[in-house]
Formats: sequence, C-alpha cells, structure tokens
Amino acid sequence: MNVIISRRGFLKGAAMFSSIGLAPAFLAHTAESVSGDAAPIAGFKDGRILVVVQLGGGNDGLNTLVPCSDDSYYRARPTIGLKKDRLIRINDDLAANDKLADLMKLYDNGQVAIVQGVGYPNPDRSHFRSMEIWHTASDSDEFLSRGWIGRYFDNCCSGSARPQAGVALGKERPQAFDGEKGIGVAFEDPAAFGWKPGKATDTAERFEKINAEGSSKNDTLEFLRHTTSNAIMSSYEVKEAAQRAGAANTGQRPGAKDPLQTVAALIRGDLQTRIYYVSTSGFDTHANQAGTHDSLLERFAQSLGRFQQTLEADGHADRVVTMVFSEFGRRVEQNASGGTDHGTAAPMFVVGKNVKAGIYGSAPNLTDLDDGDLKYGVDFRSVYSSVLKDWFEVAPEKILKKEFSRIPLIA
Amino acid sequence: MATPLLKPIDSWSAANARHLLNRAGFGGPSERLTKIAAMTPEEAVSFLVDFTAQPTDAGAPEFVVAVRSPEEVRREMEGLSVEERRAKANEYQQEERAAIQKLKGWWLERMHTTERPLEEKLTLFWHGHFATSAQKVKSSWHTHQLNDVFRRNAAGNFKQLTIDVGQSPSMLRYLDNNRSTKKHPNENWARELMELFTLGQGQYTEDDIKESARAFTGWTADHQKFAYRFDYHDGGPKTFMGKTGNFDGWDVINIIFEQPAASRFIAAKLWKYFAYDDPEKEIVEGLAQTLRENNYELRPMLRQMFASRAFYGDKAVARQVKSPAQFVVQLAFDMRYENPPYVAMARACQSLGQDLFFPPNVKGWDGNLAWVNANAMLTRYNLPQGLLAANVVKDARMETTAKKPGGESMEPAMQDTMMSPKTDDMPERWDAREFLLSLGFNTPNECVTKLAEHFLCVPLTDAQRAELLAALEPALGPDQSMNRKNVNPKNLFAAMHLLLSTAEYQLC
Repeated sequence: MNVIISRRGFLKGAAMFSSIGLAPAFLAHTAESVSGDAAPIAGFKDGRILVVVQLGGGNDGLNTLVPCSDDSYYRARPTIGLKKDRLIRINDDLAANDKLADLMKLYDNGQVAIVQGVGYPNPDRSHFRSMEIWHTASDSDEFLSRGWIGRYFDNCCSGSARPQAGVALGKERPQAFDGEKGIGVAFEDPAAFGWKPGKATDTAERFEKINAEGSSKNDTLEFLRHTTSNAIMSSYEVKEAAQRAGAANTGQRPGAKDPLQTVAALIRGDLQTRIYYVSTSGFDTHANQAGTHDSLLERFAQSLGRFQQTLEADGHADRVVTMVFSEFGRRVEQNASGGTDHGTAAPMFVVGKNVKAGIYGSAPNLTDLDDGDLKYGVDFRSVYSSVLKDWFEVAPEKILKKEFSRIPLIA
Repeated sequence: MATPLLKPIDSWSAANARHLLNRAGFGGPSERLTKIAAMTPEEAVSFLVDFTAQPTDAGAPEFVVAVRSPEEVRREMEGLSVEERRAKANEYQQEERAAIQKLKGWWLERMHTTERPLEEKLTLFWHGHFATSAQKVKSSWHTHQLNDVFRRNAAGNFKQLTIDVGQSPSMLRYLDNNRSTKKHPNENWARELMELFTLGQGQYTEDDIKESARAFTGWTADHQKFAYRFDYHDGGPKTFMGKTGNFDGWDVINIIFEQPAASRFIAAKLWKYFAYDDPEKEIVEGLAQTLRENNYELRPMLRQMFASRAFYGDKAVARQVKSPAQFVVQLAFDMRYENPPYVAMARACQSLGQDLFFPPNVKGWDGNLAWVNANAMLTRYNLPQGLLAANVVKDARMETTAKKPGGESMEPAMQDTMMSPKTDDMPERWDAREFLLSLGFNTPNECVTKLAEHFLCVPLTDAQRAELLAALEPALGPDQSMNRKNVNPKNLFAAMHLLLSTAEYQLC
C-alpha cells in the first residue's frame, strides 16, 4: 500500500506545535502537556472513546453464535458442531458458545449488542482483501487506500488533534488509520515506547533536531521523518499518561499480556485518544478447530470482561464503547481436517454501558446458502455508520461516502 | 527490448556499485564494494547473479533436530507413565524451540558472511513470498528444510520452486494440505497458491479454488518428506481454468504456469522487492516476457533487472526502507563488526517486526513503507545502541565488578536495549575508537563527512551536520587541538548513536 501522508496535511493538523525542528515550540508543547493543560481534541465530545477489536483470521460465526434449533447446523458439522448441553441459550433458536460466558454476563447486564449476519455484497474470501475492505469501508470492487478511521480523523478532528488521537496496540499501524493527517500511532508497550539516549545530557534535544522534517524530494525520506516526528511527540505523551495511570498495568512485555488492560491504563492516564485499536490473530481455523476456537473465544471474552471491570472500577465505563469484528466467517460445512474454510457473514459485537443490549439482524439461514456460504443480512458499514452517528455524533456520510441504514445500537 | 527503462545501464560508478550491493545483497563489506566498483556493469551484475561461481558452505547446521519417526517416538515412550510421556514431549518441544531460535542466528550469520549475497537475499525473498511460520510447523528440521529449498532454487526455476515448496512438509502442514481428503478437501493451500504465490487476485474464480483443492488431495507428508497418498486423492474429473480432466496437483501447477499472469505476478513482486513499489507496466511486461521465454528460469530476468537503467534511477536509489534483516546485517557491515552477536541481532529483527521463520501470516511481510510506524522507528533508533555500546558495556561491567561488587551495574538504557549484548552472544570486542580512526580524518568536520559517507546513501542537511559536529566535539576536541589518542569512546558512541538515529540511516 503506497500511502504517503502529505506533510502539508500533517502540519495543518499539528499547526499549534509548528514543526518538531523548532525546539522551543516543541518544548513548550511538552511543558503544556506535563502541566495537564493540553487542549482537548476538537470534537472529543464528553471524552468519548471507541475501542475496535479485530479478530484476525476469520472468526467462525456459527460456532460463536449457534443456531441451536437448526438440524442442518449439526448435519453440516458432525464433529465440530457444538452440542446443545454446552451452549448458553439466548432464545429458542440461538445460543452462545459457552466459552463466551464472560461476554454473556455483560449481555445479561445490558451491555452487549449482538449484530448477526454481518458482511457485505460480493464477499471476498481472501484474508487480505477482505481485511482491506473492512479497514477502508470500501465496496468489494472498489479500492481505497485510506482507512475509515483515518477519514474520520481527517473530517472530524480538526485543529489540535495529535498523532496519538488514534492508538493501536501492536507492532503494526492498521490500514484503518491511514488518512491525510497521519493521525494514529502503534506501539506494544507504553513503557518501551520512546527513544533512549545514553548518558550525554544534550542528546535528546539533538535527536529532535537531527530528525526535523525537511523539504527533501525523497518521498520515502520525508515519510520517515514525518513518522519520526509523530513518534517523538506521541512517546512523550504516552509516557506521561502511563505514569499518571500508575506503573502496575503498563510495564508489560510486548504481546505477553492483555492489550485491553493496557488500553484501560492509558484511558486511566488520560491519554488524549479517541480510538484504540487492538487486534488478535489465530481465527484462521482450517484444521482441528474445536479446541483452538474455544480457547480463542474464551480468551477474548475474558479479556473483554476484565476490560469492562477495570473501566467500571476506574469510573470510565460511561466513556467507552467497544466494537468487535472479523474479516469474514467460515464456510457452513466443516472440512476433513475438523476445521472450516473461509466463508462470509459472521456476528459483530458492540459492548459498553451506553450500548442498547440485544440481538440485531436476523439469524443466518442455513438452508438458503450462496454456494455453501451464508448470505449476509447487515452491511458492516451500517454498524460503522451507527457508531459514528450515535457515539461520536458526526455525519457518517462524510466518512463512509454513502448512506447506510443505521441500527439503534447506542442508547 | 521494448522499453527504454529496461535498457542496460551504460555508465558505472561507485554509487551504482553501492546501490547494487545494497539491493542484491545486504550492503558491505567495503572490499567487495571496491571490487564491484572496478568492474564493468555486466561483470558486476554477473558477479552477483551467477553466484554459483562463488564458494559456499552448504549443509544443515548440526543443532537442527532430525524428525523422529512415529516408531522411534513409540520406542522412546514405551513403558513410560503418562507424566513421564508428557515430560518427554515437553522436552522434545523445548529442544525444537531452542533449535529454531538458533536457526535465526545461523541464517543472519550466512547473510553476513556469505560469498553469494544475492543467494541469501533471494532466500529471504522466497521466505516472505512462500511464507510458513514455525509457530504452526514447530519443527526446526522442516523449517530448515524449506529454507534450504529456497536457497537451492533461489535463482533457479520458479515453477520447480513452487512444486518443491508445495511438497515441503513445512508448507503441507502450514496450509493444512496434509489433512485434505477426497471427501472434504481443505482449500487453504489451493487458495494461497493462486492468490499469493503465483497469480494474484482476480486471476481465478472461487470454483477454481474448490476444484484445485480437489486436485491437491493426496499431497501430504510423512514425518520427514513429501508423501503422495492415493487413498486421500480425488481422482475424478475437475474443471480448472477452463480445462477439464482428472487433474492432480502437478496438472494444476502446469495449468497455472500456462497463464501469462503468473509471469507478471512474480516479475512485479521481484521488482518491488529489489527496486521500487508500483513498477511501470512496461517494466513488468518486459521482465515477464523474459521469464516466459526462459520457461520461468529466474536468472535471465534477474540479470535484466539488475542491469537496467530504471534500477539505478531516481525512483530506486535511496528510496527503500531497509527490512529489519537488512538493517541489522548492514549495520554489522557498516560497523566493520567481524563477529557480531547474531543471536542478539535475531532478537533485534523480531522487535523491528521481522521475526525470521515466524512471518505474521501467509502473505509474509509487506515490506518497504509497511516497516514504518511510530513504534518501529523508535525501536530502530534504539537498537544500534546495544551494538555500539558493546565495548563500553564490557568496560562498564569490568569496572562494576572491580569497583562496586554487588552494586548497580550498567546504565539502565543499555540494559533494556533489545540488542543488549550478553557474554555468550559477544564473542569479540568491537572497538568504536579503532573503527572511527580507521575511517581516516584530520578534523571533526572531516570526521562528520567520513561518517556520513560511510553510513548513509543520502547527504546530510547543514543543520544535521551541525548537530553531529557538536555531538562529536566532546569526543574529539575542537579542530585545532584534536588528539586521536584522547578520543573518548562514550562521547563517540553518543555521536554515532545520533547518526544512526536518523531517518536517513533507514534508507538503502
């Protein structure tokens, strides 16, 4: 993906800091954020935060939410179909995998909206293309380089938005963040996010100066310099937020612990972030799915449960909505390896105290298939649209380019 | 030759030679650079592409664990209690994990010491192209075996390579084809074969995937090699890419390579890896044609690519972000580090997002700009400190043990640097002062010039020069009174760390 973020666009976005090369302005900015007077992000209404969770690999929707009264489910999945006695019943026809117990507790407390059968027209079963479609919110025959979150930042967070308005916990910056202003940083461990000079006292300042953005005609070089500027800026703020949050939850080794706990800590530390992005992998269960999928779901549900608990304890539960997606579901019929191949529609979850709990969309019909695959009922952009409109209170058409029907997911 | 972009370059300079070595290899050493700069362009390209003329030390490293046969495992487990069996199985796993970790250092050492740089550069390309992860494969033997397939076919025949990869136990396990049967074919390998390995999206249909998955049933592996299992194979008629027959896996690969899309797909990807993203259509077509005319033999195409004007043009030179493997190996060359800590370098690669033998998914690493994000940049800037500080750390350690037994040890910044050397990784001492003086200079100003020329392929700005000069002065003293004997390694190391903590140093 060739995404060069224009320097002009960035400078406009970060106008108040001037360029990183002008040390006095930069230091003034650092002092300002230390004193806690950082300007709020424009449009950061009531400090609302969205957390996006990506289940990478294609989550098997049918073994997540089970159409338990449908015999064709058990016929299609003789060995990996989930027996009725190990399911959590939602209604007569629908039940949840019992490994989702922690999520279902939240559901019972009125904090989970389940949207069934989410997909898009003419689905693509390639992980990479499908992920790109979800990240850019494009049609399946349309190729966009900018991500939907990047377009949200470009359109709705003018003026003072900083790079860390979007934070992805992980090694990679998701394509969803790609936008004109270059907002959005990625790191795994807040404590390790920063440049570490040796003992020479003046080195940190020299580091900022030697990495000043310039006017080279080498696009790659300018992109690197720009990313460095963003990194330096964000690393100071992240470090400060981590310190404010308390060390307990922020010194984890990369990838070793629960990234949602890191998100909770950064929220507690008052990092000026509107969208956090967390991704997991392993849902590509072509073989021996049974045990693997169960433990993936269990880890996911426990992590979400803990996250809501921490937010509640910290007094931030009202500010946060979490949205969970995967690039596609799996084929209805199991394969010879006790696994499932790439499919189409799957459920999404939207979680939070401000969410209107319930089941949305209709259950996938296992007898009306498209060449062995589920037909989608809800376009994923309807969910994006609902969150943008009802949580961030912005006009979704500006971001998604088209109108999509909305679902009343948010109270 | 239709396009002027692919016309052979007709002039040659040290800068051209450096660019060629950076891209067709991992940079340095300086003797090789001098040698190639003195050749004609044809000779230089031939030196790299016809690498079998150069010596090699083939052979599997001795720490790779031979795969036990089921009988062997049964024998070893016989008479053991359940707990003892579990302990034994754990022991096997530990052994494998340790061997795979060692394999990373072994490979980086090859990249650094080989006389055939393009062979290793291509091996790395194929590892990213036909990506399998040891996370799933779990066997050092199978992991090394596929690495060896890449090396042996590196500049050989792309179609043969595809077959060899498809029959490697590593790929058969990674994409689940070893469990694919007539009754329920597994589509994982069939899909990625077309989407990611040979044709690219849009060149096949979902039905082509389903039908070819049937054809590949029976391609499986026993404990150590490819095994064709007829009882798994679906011998019935299939329709694949408009042809109908009782196809098997070989037939499907033959049909795939009849598609011109196969030549364009790999030509574009190789150009992107070696030269630049978004190649012009005529470049892709020109290279693809060469591939087809040579029945997918790669050497003629590689020769054409590395000799072309476009390869040495503005779009290519100093516009690529070093991959993590490139970064650490080139750093070792740049520092003239003869025996660098390879295991620590492998850890560094991992922290930069390229964990060798553990690609993130079957698509491998996207490369170039995808290596860049806030975290990766800072990690890159932090890493050289460990290497640079190697001698300082050693000195500090000695000082600490001598002066403050049991007291605080080295600087915290050095301790948590990923590359922070351990004694077993650090067979030799690297001397910053010796290195610097070997560059040859008389004033701090000249020193900055030499450093920039040595490490960077783009010039520094005046402001950057000024910062470096100011950082070097405490180490070297002002111009007039410079005394080489008094160079302070700690200050020197701070200045070099600064130079390596630039966007410029990330380019090659």
